[in-house]
Amino acid sequence: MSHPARWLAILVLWGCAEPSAAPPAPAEEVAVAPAQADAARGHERMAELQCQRCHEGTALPVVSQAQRCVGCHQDILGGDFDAPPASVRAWRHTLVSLNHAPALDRLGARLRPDWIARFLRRPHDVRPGLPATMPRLPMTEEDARDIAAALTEDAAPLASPPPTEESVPTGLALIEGRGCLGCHRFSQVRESTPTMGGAAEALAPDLRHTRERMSEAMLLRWLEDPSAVHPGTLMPSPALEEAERRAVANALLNAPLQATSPPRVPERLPVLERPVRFAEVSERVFSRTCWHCHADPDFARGDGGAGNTGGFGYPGRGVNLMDYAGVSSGYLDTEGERRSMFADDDGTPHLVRVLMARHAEEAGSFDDAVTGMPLGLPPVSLEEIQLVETWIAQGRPN
Amino acid sequence: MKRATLTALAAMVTLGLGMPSTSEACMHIVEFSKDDAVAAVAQADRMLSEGRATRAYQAARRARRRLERHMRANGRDAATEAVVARARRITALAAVRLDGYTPVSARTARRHVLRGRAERSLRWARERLRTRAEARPEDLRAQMHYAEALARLPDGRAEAAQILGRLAERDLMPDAHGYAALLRVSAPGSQSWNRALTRCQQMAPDDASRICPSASAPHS
Repeated sequence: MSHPARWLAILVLWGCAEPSAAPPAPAEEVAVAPAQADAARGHERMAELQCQRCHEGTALPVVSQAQRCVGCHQDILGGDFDAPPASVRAWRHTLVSLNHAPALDRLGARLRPDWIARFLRRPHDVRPGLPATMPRLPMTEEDARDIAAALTEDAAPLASPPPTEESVPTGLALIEGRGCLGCHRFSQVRESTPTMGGAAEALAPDLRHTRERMSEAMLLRWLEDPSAVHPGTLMPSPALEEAERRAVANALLNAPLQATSPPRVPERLPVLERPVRFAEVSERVFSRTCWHCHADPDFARGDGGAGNTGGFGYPGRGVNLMDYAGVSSGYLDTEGERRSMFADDDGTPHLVRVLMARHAEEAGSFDDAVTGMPLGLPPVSLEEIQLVETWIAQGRPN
Repeated sequence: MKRATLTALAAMVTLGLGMPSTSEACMHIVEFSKDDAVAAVAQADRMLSEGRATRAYQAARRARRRLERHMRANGRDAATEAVVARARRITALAAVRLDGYTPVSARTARRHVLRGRAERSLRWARERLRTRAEARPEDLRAQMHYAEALARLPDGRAEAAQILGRLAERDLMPDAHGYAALLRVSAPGSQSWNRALTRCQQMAPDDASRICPSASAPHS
């Protein structure tokens, strides 16, 4: 629709309104963080938290190849990694996490700063196609607010659109008819299984969260031309007329959500009767996931990973899960005191407690005293936690 | 001429394939796949923890020599130096666990034993492990290894008992070798001795007798 035609349509709509009803004034939306947020400090915190190890578009200095988690995985998947071909082929089959991460440039045009700040403090799964989620990094509310300001500082204020008369059912029909659900889920509204695959499906957010993440103005602009909002996006132009965009936006923001039972924190399983030795626990748990961040620094240029020598804003916790002696050597607490990972912690061995805390986080329950592990990855299964607990209960046989 | 060129090429290929490059965090697994000298040091460490000190000593020494040759030819780098330091630690610790009787030719052994080689070897190992422990105060393995060396020398037993007792008390003993050393410096048959023996046997890999004394024949 051309600009004159759009204005004509708006005037016609105003003309149809009740004479006593004042036309809604196009208000300025708050598209940037509150005034007290300090974007410059936010950039400093982003550098300390090493956001660029996973995300593109941070405007932070590029890190070494060995520190680029996602970039390194993409090199392996693309066959460009400098390692023996047989090893690269084997790793390709086991790489499931951190193969994609959303880019952070021009974020202010597509995400609300208040949502970003909340999400950073309490990360949850908004992209069901990605096994990993945003990890829970060490940050205060002030940090999260400042980082949100830094990520959105270049956003131009958008005028709020007038109220729409396009119906939610029309919008839902368009969402289904235009193939949006080929990449996106829309949980609590429509059951669907995306079939597109690849990066487009992996990075497609669950549309259920749109109402918290975007304002209506942002959403309408995005639906009009995604590439103009975020050059390089995998979101194709949906080729919708303005009325259709209004209907789709209305459905995304206002479609009634089906009631769901609140997620439950699962109970841990009882210890096993059969003997469990370290080799089994290491093979199924420690060597499969944990050692990515809890490695042996001697074999890695002094960098034992975020959970050992430090990284992603965390100080070194001195945890090495590469071998029996490393696991037995404990961790450094917040006071710098070394403690056993098997010490009783509210009736639960500390190691089991942190593994269970990740399940709680997935259910939306965050404990300020314990960060769930593995950080930002799907929880270790209850059966595997049972294995760890059994091994501990049996005296940690080697 | 042709033979000399081939020899030089072979040496270059061997060194080139066998040397560590930059690595960090989870990249260590990449290093193991690319570099058999690095993998050999890791393997030597495993052999040592399993109680196969002689094999560990030999493997670590071979790997260390390769890595040092590489550094002489290509210059020093932090990644290689870290692995060399680890190989040195393995040889020192193996010397401790062999009571100073490291594998050498029979002729050399006879000559050195006559000159008190075993004790000199133990004292050399203790100094190497002490330096490492002081440089890594947070590394409990390094503390335990130093205490193991102390426990084998008459003038180090009290300090060994102090270090190892503290680790045991806080349930932070890295592995069975620490409890085996604690048994050496504890009064046989006491409650703490029995507890240390139980933990030693639980924490030892498959064949506990390689590491832990039997209950009926305690270490002196």
